[in-house]
Amino acid sequence: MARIRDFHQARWDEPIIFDIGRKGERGILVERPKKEVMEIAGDTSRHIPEGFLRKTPPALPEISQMQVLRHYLRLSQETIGTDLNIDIGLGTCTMKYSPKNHETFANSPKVAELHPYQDESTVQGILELMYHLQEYLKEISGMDEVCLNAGGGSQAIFSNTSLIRAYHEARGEGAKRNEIITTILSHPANAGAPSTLGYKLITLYPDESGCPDLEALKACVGEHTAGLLITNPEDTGIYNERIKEYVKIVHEAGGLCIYDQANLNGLFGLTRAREAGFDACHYNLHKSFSSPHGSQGPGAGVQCVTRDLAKYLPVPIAAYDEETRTYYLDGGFPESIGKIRKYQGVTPVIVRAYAYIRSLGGEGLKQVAELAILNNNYLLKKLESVKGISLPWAKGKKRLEQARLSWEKLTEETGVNTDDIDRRIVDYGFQSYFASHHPMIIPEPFTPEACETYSKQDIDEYAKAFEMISEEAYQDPEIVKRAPHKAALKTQINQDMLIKPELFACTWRAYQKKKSKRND
Amino acid sequence: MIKRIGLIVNPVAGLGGRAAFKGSDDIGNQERALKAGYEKNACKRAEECLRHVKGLGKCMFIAPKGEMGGRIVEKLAIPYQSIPVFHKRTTRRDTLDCLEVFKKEKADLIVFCGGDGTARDVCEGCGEEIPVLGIPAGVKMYSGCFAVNPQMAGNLLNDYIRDRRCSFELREVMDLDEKFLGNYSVSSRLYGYLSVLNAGERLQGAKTASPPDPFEVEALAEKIVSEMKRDVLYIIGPGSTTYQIKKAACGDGTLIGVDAVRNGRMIGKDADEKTLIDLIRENRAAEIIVTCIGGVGFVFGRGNQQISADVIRLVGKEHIHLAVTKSKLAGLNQRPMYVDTGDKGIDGYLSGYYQINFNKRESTVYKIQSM
Amino acid sequence: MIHPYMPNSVDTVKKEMMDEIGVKSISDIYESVIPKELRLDRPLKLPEPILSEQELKKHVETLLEKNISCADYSNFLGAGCYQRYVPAICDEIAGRAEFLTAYCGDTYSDHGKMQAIFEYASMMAELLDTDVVSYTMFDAGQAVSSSMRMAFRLRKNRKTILVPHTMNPEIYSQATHYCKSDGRLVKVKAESGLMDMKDYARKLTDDVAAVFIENPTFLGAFEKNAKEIIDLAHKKGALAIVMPSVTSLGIIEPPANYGADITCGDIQELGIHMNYGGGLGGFIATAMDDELVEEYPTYLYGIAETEEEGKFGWGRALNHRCSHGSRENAKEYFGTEAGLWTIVAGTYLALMGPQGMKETAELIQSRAVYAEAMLKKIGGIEVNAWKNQYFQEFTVCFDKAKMTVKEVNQKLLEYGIFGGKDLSGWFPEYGQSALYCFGEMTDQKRIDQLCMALKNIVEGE
Repeated sequence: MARIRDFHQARWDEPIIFDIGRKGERGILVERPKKEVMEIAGDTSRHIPEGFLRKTPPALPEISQMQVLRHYLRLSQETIGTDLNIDIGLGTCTMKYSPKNHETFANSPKVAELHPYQDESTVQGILELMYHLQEYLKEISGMDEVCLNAGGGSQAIFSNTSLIRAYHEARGEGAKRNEIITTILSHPANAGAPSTLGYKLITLYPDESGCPDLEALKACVGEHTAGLLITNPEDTGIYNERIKEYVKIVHEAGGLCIYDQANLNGLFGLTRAREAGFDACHYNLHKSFSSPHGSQGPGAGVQCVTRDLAKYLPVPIAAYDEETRTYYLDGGFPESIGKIRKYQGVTPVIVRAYAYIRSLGGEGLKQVAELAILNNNYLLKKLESVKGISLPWAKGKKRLEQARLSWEKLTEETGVNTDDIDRRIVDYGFQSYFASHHPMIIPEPFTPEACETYSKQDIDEYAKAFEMISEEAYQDPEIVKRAPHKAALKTQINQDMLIKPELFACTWRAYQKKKSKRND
Repeated sequence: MIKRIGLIVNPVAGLGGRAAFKGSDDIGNQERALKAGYEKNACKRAEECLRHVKGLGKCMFIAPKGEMGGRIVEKLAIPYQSIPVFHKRTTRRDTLDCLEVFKKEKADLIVFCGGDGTARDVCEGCGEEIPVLGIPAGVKMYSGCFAVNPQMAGNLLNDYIRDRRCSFELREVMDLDEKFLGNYSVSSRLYGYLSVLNAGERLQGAKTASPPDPFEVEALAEKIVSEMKRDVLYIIGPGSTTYQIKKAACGDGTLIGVDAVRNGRMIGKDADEKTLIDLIRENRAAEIIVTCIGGVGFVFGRGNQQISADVIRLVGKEHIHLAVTKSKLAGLNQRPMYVDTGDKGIDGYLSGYYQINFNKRESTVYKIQSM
Repeated sequence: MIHPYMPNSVDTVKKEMMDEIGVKSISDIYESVIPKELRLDRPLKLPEPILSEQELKKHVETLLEKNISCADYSNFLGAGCYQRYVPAICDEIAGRAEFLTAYCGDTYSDHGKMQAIFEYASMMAELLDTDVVSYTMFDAGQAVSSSMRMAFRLRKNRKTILVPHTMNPEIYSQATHYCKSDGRLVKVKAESGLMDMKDYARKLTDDVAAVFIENPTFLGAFEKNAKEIIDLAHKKGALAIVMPSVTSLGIIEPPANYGADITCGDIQELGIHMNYGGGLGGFIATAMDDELVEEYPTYLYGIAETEEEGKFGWGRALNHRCSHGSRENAKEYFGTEAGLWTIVAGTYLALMGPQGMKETAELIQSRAVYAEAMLKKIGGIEVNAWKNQYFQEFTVCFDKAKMTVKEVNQKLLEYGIFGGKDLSGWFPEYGQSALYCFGEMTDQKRIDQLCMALKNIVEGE
């Protein structure tokens, strides 16, 4: 029997930081220039061009150190991180355990205190690590070249789409091939990135199988097709078994195919972008390769591409010189699309990903995929018995590492919708969950992903909570609709303030200005 | 602020369906059903809805006495102001009279319980003037203006009264075409639009990088109008989506009719089939712009029979533009769009994949099939 | 294999779960959906796993030991990534499990995180003297690129953005690529290290959507004509985008106060380690102008009142932004960028307060001035060739000594010094010049050592 805990989040009722401290307090003292320096430099204002000396000091808070620390510690307690509880709800995000051992590597001065322009001879360790990580990722994807520059998955998608543009431009077809095809269930960056690059976008909708309509793809490819950006499995966890046909159709039309592999966690060692015929793919190092997600970053994206596309990759790429037996940063790709992000990647995430692969090896990674699949299917089995939830599409077909469920029936029968449940789940001590990207083509969605690092007990507890909420919805829906009750914030917010431009404020000073205006 | 809510229940709604009649609009049907021992169901459904606002305060109902609404609010002890009813047997006239009272009393919302026939009456009585909430209880439910079920209606109403965020959107009022009633072949017609109470705008959750777009209809209209060619006749079908296109194209147009536009001028307002055919013959080139009906996905054959098989044959399928937004498409639940022109040959000819442009940059390819 | 990160690797548990699902093996599940021809029929060829925590630690640490960091050597590199003193509390908060391992939890599960993000933006707003500040983006390059796209959207039919010749070359490359579908970047001469006002006036046509300047410039100098540059742009109906050094704002006027429409930049300097370039985070800030706000391409965290007076909650706000601007000009993509640094930078600003920011900026500048004076005593090198006023960086040219920057920097390594950033690749017209950076971590002793080493190197040891 799964145990449900009597949870209550910390509720510190913490004031806004501007209301803490008194004028003159100091949080930290900084070094003052020594006498010799002062003698030469004198008053710094002499070195500032006329008119640029700041007239009014910034109205930052003035708070002593302990009080600053306390404020932030309290705020941290009003936040549910993955380390604290079962974070199965954020599907597509792969909220797996991030080993603490790796934190010591990432925080080591040998990583943290490196300047990106240091001489290569002084960064041989990190270059070696990057080089090997690139090699491992080549094997995992089956691709020929890897670039670690991107600051996140969406930037890797942007960069991969840029390769498509560079490829067609090099063939003199840049202007003609102005359409990118993607799917409605792919991450929005698959639409956003081509759009940013000026492409027209054709979005495929799924048919009843839950996979993008293959016939629709046939109907829309042609001489304008630049490429296909497709995810597999999509957020539904439904593996598209005909993926190779999609690639073939687009290739025959002269387009390129990019595989969004953000959902790699259930695929490690089982199937690769190479075998499916893709020209490029991307991974999110902070997801499948385990980095703490850091309140939405820093993450890291990697691009894995075929030999044909390698020359267009952003630079630099870590390389090894056999002769001198040294590692170096190779920036010498004349056809490169240039920089997509300064320097050479988000190093702390790169270090953790390296350590992660080394701690598991090939067999271990396959086991990760297998257990992620097992966990997900076990969770689905448990959720099956929860009243009001259903698993739309592809009846009888097994999902891989995640699934998109629907509360449609519960909503119809009780009026409690997925937003309500998402608030109520916080009362049980869980992170709010991921419903769906827009548009919600599955009504009242809920997308869990039970990564391999969760135990059977964890999953039982998680499923039990939904069973309880479902019961509440049928018996006393107001409990759910008025939730949360046990969170740091106990009442619901006035959503108008996030929607109406005239009420919107994203800084304290703007809020106060608007408020005094309202009161006038 | 106290919300003033008009309530109107069509007590005989749904009666015919249980007796396997095609509707309950016909008084003969009603009586036959009652005689056959079928109970009046609509009041029960209205009560299921209104139970959700029991004891809430903050509202004042206006309802006709008796089974047209008053009895239910009395039973639930919800405060209300009554409207006298004079007829023994409820008719359309009573409904229309009540609507007049709601207008005079400046009701904030009308809650009605019934089917397509009731929706038509409400539409006729007050159009888009007062927003409505429809509790489904009828036999024919082609209209898009009903909540999914009485519970959902109750929840929406509860949210509305408690000032939780709600939105209003125009939804179709459809009904079977009376000409065909009782015939084997069933055809529905678009009668108008109601402003329907809907769940409030949902806040964008995390990671949702492409939020819902309140300007999507505008963007779609802009795209279509910007590509209109000189001297080409545009036959634009009914609907709120296409209405925006009509407005953008020539500043004029009907919501539920088929209009013809050329060179930015209206040349055939609310045209019938014959007018359309004449216009096509007069013009060298013609194109058709249609939307699909929300939820069910009909492109031809529902609400736009004026654009008949003959019209389509003359224009040609490569000259058909589908004006459909992303949200509307999402609402089709992966089902294809349908054509049902009554001409099997044309339906077959129309079947296949079509490119649908959402705006100047985004499009999809979607399937149309015959019924 | 039983693995500590995989509780269900224990056979009995695995079996229980499989029984419940009704499968004999896990491969039954995926083999039923992944066709054989797509399955990898061999194990991944990766090195054998290092299973024990201790051995893994030894392995990775041995590898990292090969690095020599700025904690080991004296560092005079800046050029867009700065070695600042990181207060202990910043590290403490950056490592808090709740913040570190949270993700996109929202208003109700992550109330504290949301407050911290809002407070960050609020404190940045004070520093920048603007009313709107974005959530963190990938880096300054992304912030600059997006600011330019905002300008293109706001000035619809204009296709040019003017930038100084000295613009950070990495950001220039990034922005050129990013803006390609909306317009082009045109460089304005900067022979004296500052924008050439004549060339600027000539290029400032009706096609210019915005002018972009860095202040201080990439080469360290104050763009002293900034106000004039902005005024001229405004007269032509163009916008002004300015990237300041956030640290300098303790003593320098923020760009908004001399006319910038969009302020953007990097927050790495605010309590975040360099991380080999992995510590970057971008921001965009503007006035509370509906037209501008509408064009922000990132999350904005808005404050919301609750049913209880004086209690607030937070959420992602105005999510329809950009969507209707997108009809003419494409919207932009975004995703997981650099959220944690938001909280760390907020902590930093709260600790520093106005006085701390002022003193830090003064310290940095006085050390740079001191260094200039000391370096000028060395024959054979040209220091701050154009005699511009600067904040923390200036150029040192080795042409007279007939040495390349590469040679000098190699020799400096022998002294335990990372010399300035070699500019000869990016700006060959400036000869063998390097960009030297000074700050809290380069105290008088280190500057003196640098001078001594350089003297030895250029004058012959």
